[in-house]
Amino acid sequence: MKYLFTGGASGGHIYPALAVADEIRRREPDAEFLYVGVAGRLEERVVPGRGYKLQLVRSRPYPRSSSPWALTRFALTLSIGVLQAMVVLLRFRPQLIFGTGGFVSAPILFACGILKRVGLCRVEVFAYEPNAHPGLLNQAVGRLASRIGVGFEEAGRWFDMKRVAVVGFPVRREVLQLDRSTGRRQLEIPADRFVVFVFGGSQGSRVINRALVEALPILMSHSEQIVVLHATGRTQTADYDAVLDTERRLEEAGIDESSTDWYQRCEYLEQIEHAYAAADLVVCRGGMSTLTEVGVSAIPSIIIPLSTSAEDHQAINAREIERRGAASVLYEEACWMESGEVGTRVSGRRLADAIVEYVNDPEKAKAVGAAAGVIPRRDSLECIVDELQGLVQGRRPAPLKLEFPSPQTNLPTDPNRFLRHVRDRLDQVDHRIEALPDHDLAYLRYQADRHLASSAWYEIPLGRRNVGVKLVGWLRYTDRLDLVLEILRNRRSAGLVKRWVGGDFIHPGILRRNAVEYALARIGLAEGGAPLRQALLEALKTDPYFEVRRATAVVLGEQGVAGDQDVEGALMDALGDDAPSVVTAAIAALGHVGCDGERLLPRLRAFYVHDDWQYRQQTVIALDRLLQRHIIDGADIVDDLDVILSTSPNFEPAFPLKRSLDELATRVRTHMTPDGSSRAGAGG
Amino acid sequence: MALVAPAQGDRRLLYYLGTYLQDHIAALSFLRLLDSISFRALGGAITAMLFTITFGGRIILALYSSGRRDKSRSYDHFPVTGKGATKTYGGPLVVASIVTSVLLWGKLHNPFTLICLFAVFWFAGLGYIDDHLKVRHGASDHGLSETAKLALQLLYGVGFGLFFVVEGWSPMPPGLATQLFVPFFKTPIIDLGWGYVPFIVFTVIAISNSVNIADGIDGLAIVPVAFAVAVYAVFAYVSSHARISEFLIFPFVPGAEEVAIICSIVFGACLGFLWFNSYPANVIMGDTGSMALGGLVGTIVVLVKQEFLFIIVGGIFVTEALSVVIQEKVGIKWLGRRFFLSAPIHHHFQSRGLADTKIVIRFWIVAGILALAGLATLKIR
Repeated sequence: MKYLFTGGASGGHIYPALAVADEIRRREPDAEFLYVGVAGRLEERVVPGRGYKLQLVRSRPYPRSSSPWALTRFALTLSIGVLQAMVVLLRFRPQLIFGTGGFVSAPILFACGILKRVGLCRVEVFAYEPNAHPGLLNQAVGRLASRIGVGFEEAGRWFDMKRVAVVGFPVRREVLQLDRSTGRRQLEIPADRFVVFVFGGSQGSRVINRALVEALPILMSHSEQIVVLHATGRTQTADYDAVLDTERRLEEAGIDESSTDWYQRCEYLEQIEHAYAAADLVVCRGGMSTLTEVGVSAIPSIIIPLSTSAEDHQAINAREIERRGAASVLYEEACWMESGEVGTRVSGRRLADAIVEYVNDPEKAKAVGAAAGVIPRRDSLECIVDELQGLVQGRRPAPLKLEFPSPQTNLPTDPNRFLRHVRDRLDQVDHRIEALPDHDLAYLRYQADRHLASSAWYEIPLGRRNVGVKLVGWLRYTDRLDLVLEILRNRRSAGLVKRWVGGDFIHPGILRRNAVEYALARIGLAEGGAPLRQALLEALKTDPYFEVRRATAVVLGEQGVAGDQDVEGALMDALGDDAPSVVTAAIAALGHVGCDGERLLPRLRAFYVHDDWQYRQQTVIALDRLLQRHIIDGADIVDDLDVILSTSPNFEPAFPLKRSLDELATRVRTHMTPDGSSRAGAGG
Repeated sequence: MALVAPAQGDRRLLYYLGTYLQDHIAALSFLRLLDSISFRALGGAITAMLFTITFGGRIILALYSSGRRDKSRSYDHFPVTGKGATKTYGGPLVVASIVTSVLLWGKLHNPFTLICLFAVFWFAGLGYIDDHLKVRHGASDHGLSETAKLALQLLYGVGFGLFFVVEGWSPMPPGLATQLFVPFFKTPIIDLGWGYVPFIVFTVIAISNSVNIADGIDGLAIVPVAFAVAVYAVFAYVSSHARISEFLIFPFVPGAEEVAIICSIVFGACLGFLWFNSYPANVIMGDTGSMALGGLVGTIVVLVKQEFLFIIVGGIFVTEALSVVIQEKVGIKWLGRRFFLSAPIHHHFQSRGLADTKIVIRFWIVAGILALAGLATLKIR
């Protein structure tokens, strides 16, 4: 038999493929293998070392921006890759293709689809999707595959269920043969301690490392009970060195490692299975290999999903496991980093609280661990290889049975569609945030964080950060108030060309406007307090973009406290603004919050014969409000009435026929019975 | 009496009938008038106008009953006139009147006529698909995708460009097709060679889309189109006339008089359409109409070899299109800010509180002045 493996760019795609290949090689020593990958990616380093032949083709990730240049480049590279892959397929002539997804597998799978269509190639395709949410490529080639192996049965919903087999994720044998006492002995930990194993994968995770160091001082009070095992990982890049950064932060936090026995740090655990064996709680990322290994070890976990994972699959995995009561999830939060960019973090307080909850409640830990142990298949590898052989022999898997509709709605990944989803969801509960279940609200708010922290923040159209800002408002996410205020206040200027054409700051005008109009307006002056009020006053005075000033004037008018001198003063100043929409908004706002009739009236009188009728219109409305609020007296303006110029280049058309039709339509609706019985009654 | 076969090159219906009658009945010899370009132009315009006015009412009712109605997008911040009566897509009306009149008055074997007819059908078809999808989905945002529209326009542009530039196919005298003429200059400023094809593609796409964009308020697009084709009728007439073209120093293009006739027919059709489309409209062009007119004007502009003149004569359309490009591409997509309250620019004026009628008539005034300025370039160069 000839097997072709493809998939990659990340370990999550490559290692399962290699595990399957190893198993096949064990069963069929004379099988031929070929791995198809992309130059310069992880597979180029890993695959030859495991004794498999590697062929390279071209491919590149699907661009997440809609720039035509990126799309063209993608299309060109992929076309070349598909042609190369066709040559590979025609020369190697495999009987079976095992694709684990990722852009690396795109050329082979598309080439295979084309060759099959023209009858040049007869090969069975097995697509493997370990995550709860299929990647873009597997979504695309799902219909092409003869069989799709999924890790979570939830993922089966995305494919033709007749061809889906739930196979789980291949686990290393070493993890399956765990023994708690051996683990503890290896790591020299007393049996009565509660072991918390914290790690962010082999490379390590900045968020987890920093969160843990922040949490340690809080955990200190439990130092008699617990042992924290911390694997920092090996990342050494220009902006983050896992080991050095952690050491520096430990020092700042005043934790002396040499004198404590409850905190043990290492760079990397060669035999991670001992740590699993010894642990009572794991803090980890949401990748499938980690989750599966934690699952088979039947330990409770605190999952911190990577917010930048493709299609946010880590969070979806985590949520799926949380739904089964097998873990708790801590989502990343958006925050300002030291570099002046928006990044993500998990606060040490939250992490410490989550850990302490397990430490204090062994029953809960036991229950969660038991629930976790049920989820992963332990025979996944055999299962996959059996499926592969079944596929070659023409056997069909037992059809997957899932309850419909899904117990957990799949949220759209497209930012704008997600926004619409949230709006509908909030409409259902009349915008009462409290009515949403806690874990749903946490997830939705995490989406706000994720979009706020997205690096694609001036992405077309309007970017993901824009979506984050709107979500902050809709979900009344007051924890992010500071961040939104910073977006409004930040004065880092845009590039020279942009400024020359009319741009201003790095946070573009529309983003700042949305910060006011969506986020700040909904959080509200009452909730936001002094910083919010100060930022709004500042924006009204100094923001160079008219829509920001207009939105600010509107918010101040609607939510400002009547009699607030500063607000009134700022709005008065805004009457001299260059942009008409700002002035009209300010006039309207003064009608609501103006209190100083003496000063206000002369300013408004200046608009009585203004060229722009909208100024006059707002002035009239404002005067009316001021009268109602007893700020001014009728006698003050009785002589003004025939001074105000009332001609206007605007009118509202009235269509008598349309009006009558509308009246008829409402009457028809009120006079309508479901089965038309009124007419029948009249007839009888 | 056997019908006399028409002379080669004169296969137009009225001419056919006219020659037959004037040859056989002495009293009808005044039908020689049918040879006169100005008479045919006038006749074509009046036919198109009367056709529209006569059949307009019935066609509108028929279209309305078949469900071709406007679903106007609801804007949050300003009233859309569509909240009045529901309007009908009347594009087919304009197209029918133009085609009928051309069949009656045009020389059907003339390459200029054929190109123009093809342009009308191509763009009307394109617009019709768009309208049809919008009607079917019941939303103005769900028409033909922008890419598909552009691809079809591109296809036409490339085809037309090649036809126009390749010697042997081209209806232009040798060596003239690829010369670039610019207003205020007597002689061509540059010979673009094959580069003329992309230039044609750009011109056609830009003009057809800009007419489409301008068609936003009742009567806003149709009158500037009428003004523009009137000016181009004059230019086409000038270059088709051996003596006048010599006098005004224009390249002599035999056969271009058919473009003048088509221009005047379009002028007539526009007036006829305005009959129904004037504020408050009971029928709007829809994409069928605006695309057909835009595509046709884009083609005429190239055939007359006065592409740059459109920047003056069609200033309204250029402004509308530029406002969209500035607002959407430069402003919102790149800089993240707006330059207008809303785009295209007539929506900006709506937001600023001008009544639709006011905007439309002011645009007409500007279009009229621009048309006169365009005409002035006949002599000022």
